[in-house]
Amino acid sequence: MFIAVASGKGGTGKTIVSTSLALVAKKCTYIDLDVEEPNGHILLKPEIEKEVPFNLKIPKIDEHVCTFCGKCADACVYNAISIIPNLKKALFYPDLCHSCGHCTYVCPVNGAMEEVYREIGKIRLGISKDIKFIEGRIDVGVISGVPIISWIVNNYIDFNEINIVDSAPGTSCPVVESVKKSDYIMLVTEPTPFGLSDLKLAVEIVKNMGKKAGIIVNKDRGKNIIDDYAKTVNIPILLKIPYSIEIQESYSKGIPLVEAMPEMKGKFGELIDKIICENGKN
Amino acid sequence: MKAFIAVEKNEGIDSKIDNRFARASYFMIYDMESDEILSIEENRFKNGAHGVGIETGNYIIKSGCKLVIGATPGPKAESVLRASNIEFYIAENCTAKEAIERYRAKA
Repeated sequence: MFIAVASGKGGTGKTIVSTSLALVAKKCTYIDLDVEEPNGHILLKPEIEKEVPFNLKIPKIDEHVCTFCGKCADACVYNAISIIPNLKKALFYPDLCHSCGHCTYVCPVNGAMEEVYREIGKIRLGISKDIKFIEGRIDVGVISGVPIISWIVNNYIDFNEINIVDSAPGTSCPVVESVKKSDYIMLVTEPTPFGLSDLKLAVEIVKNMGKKAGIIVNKDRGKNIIDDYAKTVNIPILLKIPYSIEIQESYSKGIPLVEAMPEMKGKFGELIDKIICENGKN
Repeated sequence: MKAFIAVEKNEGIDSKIDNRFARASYFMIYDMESDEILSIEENRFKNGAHGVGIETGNYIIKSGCKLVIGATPGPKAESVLRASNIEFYIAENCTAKEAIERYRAKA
């Protein structure tokens, strides 16, 4: 079972929701795939047992062997290579490189180019009570989080267990990669025009990918614009988290929602049971 | 000597210098000796997502131009031009013609 927590808009409460789900599910794996700014650890306070560097392959050009033919630069669709034949210089811009390997593939000169590893982030593994904790984190300035996300999903997730994935906000590649293999997507939003506008974009992704989804409204203050929209797109509203100063205070102290508000614990418990019962393969 | 000039419109020597360098609308190649425009081409890299400075830089290297006239380049275009020892003359808010005159007056 793989439940992904996503949102269009940032700051709607994905981490509050995903950590709450993990805490009520107890025996599960919480995976933070908001790799540019993972912060589920602040609420779950895991004990980190292992830190694995994450590397990508990048080309290394040997200027003593290179004939400066420029085939690699022409092949690079990300413009990461510049060849200056008259000065016998080969420039490489690692921040633009997507590690596709095309350059080394097209290079006609033996020994002019090889693939080397470049560390772009870390995968942290730990434990928080009964929860297995996994976090992807990329270094500042790394162009894309997609490779580390895809690596974690394909190598660290046991699909027979309960997995709660905290994805990045937005609607671009990292989000798609985070939710691609999910059985169910929970979209967290807030009842504001901004929340609604971005929710609509997230719903487009869900519909495009043919995924089952439900909406969680955070900072709820009664009947609101999300209710009407949810009906029109035929997506259920799973839960409403009330707008409350107590929740804000506990959040600002790093206390998980279900610990600060015992009544929410019951609601999240019912929610996860229902989702697993209706969508789980195990 | 051939000069590479990054301009806003295809209006010959009176084309304004584009205020963006690597993403300028048109690239003009100008012969400084015979004082004629060799070509004006639309910049097909203009709407690229990343690395446009490098792409434009690579294009300039291939064009064989030894002088570049345009708005202040971004860091990537600048690094390619510096590495290839191509002279860069920054000209803003003027036409290609005026920029060439200013370059000559300076030199």
